[in-house]
Order: sequence, then structure tokens, then C-alpha cells
Amino acid sequence: MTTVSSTAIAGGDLTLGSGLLAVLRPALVLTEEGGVISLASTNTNNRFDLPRWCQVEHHQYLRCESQGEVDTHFIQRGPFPQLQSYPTSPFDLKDFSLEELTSKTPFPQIAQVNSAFAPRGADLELGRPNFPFSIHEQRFAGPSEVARLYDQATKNQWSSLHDIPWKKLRPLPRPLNLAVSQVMTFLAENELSALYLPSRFISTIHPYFMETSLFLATQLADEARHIDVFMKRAWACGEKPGVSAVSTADSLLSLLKSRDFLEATFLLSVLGEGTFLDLLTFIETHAPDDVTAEIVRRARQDESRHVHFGIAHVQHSLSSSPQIRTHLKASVERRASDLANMSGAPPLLQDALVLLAAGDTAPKNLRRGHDKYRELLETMHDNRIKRLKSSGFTEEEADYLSELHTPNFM
Amino acid sequence: MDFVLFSNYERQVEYLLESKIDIAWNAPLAHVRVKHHTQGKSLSLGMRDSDRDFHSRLIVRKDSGIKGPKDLEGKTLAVGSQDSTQAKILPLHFLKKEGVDLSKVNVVSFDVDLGKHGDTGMSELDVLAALHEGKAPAGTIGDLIWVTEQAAGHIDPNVVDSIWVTPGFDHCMFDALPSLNPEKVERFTKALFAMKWENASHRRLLELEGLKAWLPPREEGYESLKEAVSDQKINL
Repeated sequence: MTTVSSTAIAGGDLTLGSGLLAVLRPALVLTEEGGVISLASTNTNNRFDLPRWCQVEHHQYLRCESQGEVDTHFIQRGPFPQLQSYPTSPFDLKDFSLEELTSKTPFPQIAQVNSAFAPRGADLELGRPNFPFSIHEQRFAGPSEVARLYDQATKNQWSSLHDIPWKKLRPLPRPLNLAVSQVMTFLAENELSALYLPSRFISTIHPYFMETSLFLATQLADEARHIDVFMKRAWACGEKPGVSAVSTADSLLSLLKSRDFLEATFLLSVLGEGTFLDLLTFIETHAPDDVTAEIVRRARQDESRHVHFGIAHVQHSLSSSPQIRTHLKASVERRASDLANMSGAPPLLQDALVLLAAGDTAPKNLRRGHDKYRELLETMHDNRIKRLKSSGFTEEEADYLSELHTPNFM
Repeated sequence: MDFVLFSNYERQVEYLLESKIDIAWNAPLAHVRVKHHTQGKSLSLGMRDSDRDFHSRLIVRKDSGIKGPKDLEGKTLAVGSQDSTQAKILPLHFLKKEGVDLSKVNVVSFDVDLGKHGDTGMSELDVLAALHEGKAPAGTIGDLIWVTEQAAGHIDPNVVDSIWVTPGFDHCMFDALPSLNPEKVERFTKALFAMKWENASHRRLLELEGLKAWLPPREEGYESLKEAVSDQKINL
């Protein structure tokens, strides 16, 4: 807020009801309490209207000096609106990124009470209602680099309609066609859960940490696009979606039971989407056509951003409060216990992946495809351990947690 | 403390005078009634900031040719409810003192919410609507409605203008009988004046009642109403 001790306004023949307030009210807001504004007016109604309006608004109407046709009204700024000023000074943006913008008004450890949906940096009128946001602390709201991830996300948005070479699609031999549809069905089903889970928590994050909410919005848009392209690919070339396994549904139900945003981020982004990165790489490597390869390549780029956010969030939280480690370990153990009856990936998915890696149904190729599939499971385990360690877990913890992770991948 | 809601001020004043309630929040006419029936001894406990220095406004259609109060003679004047202090009783009183022969003015009263003494402001909004719609060339309303409706952008400045202002007067007051237990008086006023705009739960109530702070009582703002009541032979 700029401090002005004395301001002169030209009001012409305007009245309260014809536009005068549009210059008077903002001028009063910019004046400190006790500061005086002079208002030149040629409308004599203001001699009566202004004192009453000032009384209603608790400004002090001081006097009116008349000279010729011009009245000069002197108004002393009262205590309303009562504002709490955000401690910042004006700045110029250079690259207009969210990272640059929010670095000028960095979020502190704790959200400003009652700022609610007011954007950070805005002066707050006092007397505000309470909002029921449960996440008030940065350690639960997200890491500071989330603004940079948001910038990356907006830069790398792509179109499911224009950026995929759909016209190049040609029918594959039937077994491969079916395999692709089965894989795409599985991907879409899991991505739907990745759309629903974070959306549950956006409304719990205090808007003071708006970078996280904005980033999650891009994450949801990413998931929407992925579901869109996976389903189109599943239906293409005369096929329909494949089978949805009970084990997948069980696994996603246990994921949806995440109790808070941090737990959800850990289970979904670090473990689930992390594992999906390896799955998507596998599909891209063995894709039977360019369209399938392009779909999973683009999806993987988006997913790696989500994983990056997840790792940074968990890492930041773990370093700020050691007890979070126990909480997150318990969440993986809870899921493992829920899914104790599950021994591996959904069988039809496994068969489809083996066939994709084989390239056709020749027995020697199927054997090679099966080897690739087993390699994939090992790669997933090794990379989960790396991600868990990057998140702040010890080697031993990482190995233990990776082993407990759902065989459904997500 | 408990509260009772009355549908009209007449019953509320009756209950106060019969000590069936301890405190009544009265509009000015009801306040003057209580003063009258207690020979001026009733206790005044507090008022809104916005209750002080009310004025009424003579508003006209810009195309009416009415330039001042005297021009009203031979014309129609829309006024608020017959029991509204700011929209009928006092503006007519002050117009008469200004020299207007009211017998020559066609006074049309918008009698809505009778018994509520103009509190709801509905009759004043009716007066404003009548002028905007061309149903009356002139009208009287309180300046609180005049100023707040202008500030809210509800008045067309090309159609309606204010050309005359009455002297000031005061509005609502919390009244009690002189026999009320001083401890109750103390507890009530303490709670009243403790209400603060910056407290969100208080603010909501203050906004609903159109004030930013409660102020101590003052009596001089009701003298003109006492005169008008006597002159207009309004039954107390």
C-alpha cells in the first residue's frame, strides 16, 4: 500500500450515484488513516451527500470551501476499510514465469490465517471469515520448486487431437491389436485414479500455497489427456477396450483410501507413477506402431513431472519432520496388507506386455518377450528404490517399501 | 439474555411499558412514545453510528420542472409509510416549516410494512421506483437510503436528483424503563459496545444492521420529531 498524506481529486459534476466513488474510494484506500483528501466538485448535492456518506463509512468530513462554482471538500480518511498489508514492495517481472512471480512473494512455513482465497500479496481487509482448509503448513503443502514444475507443465502441454499422428494408424495383426487395447485399458483405468485422487486434496490445501494447487491443476489436465489418448488407442483399429481386473480395482481402491495429501502424493506419485515411468518406457520401446509410441512417450514426459513433484514433496516433508517417515511407511504397509492376496500384475496385462515385447506370436519371440517382461519387473524395483532413496529413505527402508508396493504397478 | 421479536413497534412499546421486556430497540417514533409515557424518564442505552444526523431528502425527476420545495404545490409527492419518520413524518414537517402549503400537495403514501415505522426501507425503495418509473415527479426518502442506493449504483443520475435537504435528526435507540436493574443495564451496554468490526462474527451482524460501531445515546436528535408528532396529531 502506498502512503499518501494528501491527495487532490477532481470530481467534476459527479455525484455518489454517477461515478464519483470510483475515484474517491480508491484514493481513500491509498491514504493512511488520518490523511486528508481534497475533492473539487461543481455538484452542490455533494455538500449534503458527502458528509452523510463519510459518516456511514466512518471517514471524517472536515469542511467545504466554495470558490465560484467549485466546492472543495476535505475528507479525512477513517479507520475503514481496515487492512492488513502484505509485506512486500512492488517489483517488475522479467520472464513472467510463475516461479519468478511467486519468488517475489515467497510462501512462509505457515499460511496467513484467514487470507482464504486472497492471492498472496493482496492487502487483506480485516473481519474475514474462517475457511476449512486443513493444510496450513508448507511441509504438507508442497516444496518450493513446485512453481518451476508448474512453468514446465504449462510450457509442455500438448494436444490429444493435434500432436498424435492418428492418421498413421494401421490395423496390426489381431493378437497385437488386442494386446495394445488391453494395455491401453489398463493405463486409462489407472490414470483415472490418478485424476481422482489428487483432486480430492486440492480443496484441503490452503490457497496461500497456490503454486501447489496450480500445479495439481496441470497434473489433472495431464491425466485427462492421457485417459483421452489411451482410450482412443484402445478403441482404434476395430478393437474395443480390454478387461478390467478385480486386482486392479482392489489396488486402486486401496490407493484412494489415502488419508492425506502427503500420503496420497507418496503412494500415487513416488511409488505409483514412478513405477509407471518404467512401464511407459517399456511400452514405448516395444510399441508396434508410431502412434502407440508417441502416446506413451508424451504421457511419460508428463508423468515424470508428477514424479518429480512427489519426490520433492516427500523429501522436503521428511527432512522437516522425522515422524512423517513412520506415517508414510505405515501407509505402504496398510496397502500391502489390503492387497495380501495379490501375487502379480493382472494376468491379461502381463500377457499383453509379453506379446508387445515379442512382436509376434512366434514361440522364440514369446520367450524373449517374457524375459523382457521379467527384466521390466526388476527395473521397476530398482528404480523404485532409487526414487525412495531420493525421497529421503535409507537403502534398507527403500528396499523394504519397494517390495511391499502393489504388483498392480500404480 | 433472551430476545423477543415483535411484528410492530406498537406492541413492543406496550410490552416495554408493562415491563414484560427489559429493553426495546426502538425506531425514533417508538422512542418518542416511550419518552412520552415515562415523562422523559426512560433510559436510553445506545444507538448505531448511522442513527445520528439523519436527514431526509426531497428528490425529484429531472424532467419534472420542480426546483425547490415551493414548486411542490399542485404536484404529486410520493412519501414513505405513514409511520416512517424519515420518509414521511419529518419531511412533511420540515416542508411545512419551509413554507409549503401541504393542503395544495397531492401526498401519496406508500404504506408498506406498517407498524415497522419505516425500518425496512421498503417504502423508500417504492418512492425511488415511483420516480424512476415516472409515476410521481417528486418524493421524500431518508438520506441513508439515498446515499447507500447511490453508492450501490441503483439510482439513475440522469433521471432522479435530490434538490432539498431537511435539518438533521436521530434514528433508533435502545430504550429501557427507569426501573430496570442497573446490573442488567451495565451488562447489556458492556456487551453492545464490545462489538467490533474487525471481529468476523461481529462484523456480519454489524453489516446486517448497517453500522460500523455502537455509540452512546443522545436525546437532542428527537426534538423535531416530538414537534412533528404534536403538530400532525399522531397518537402517542
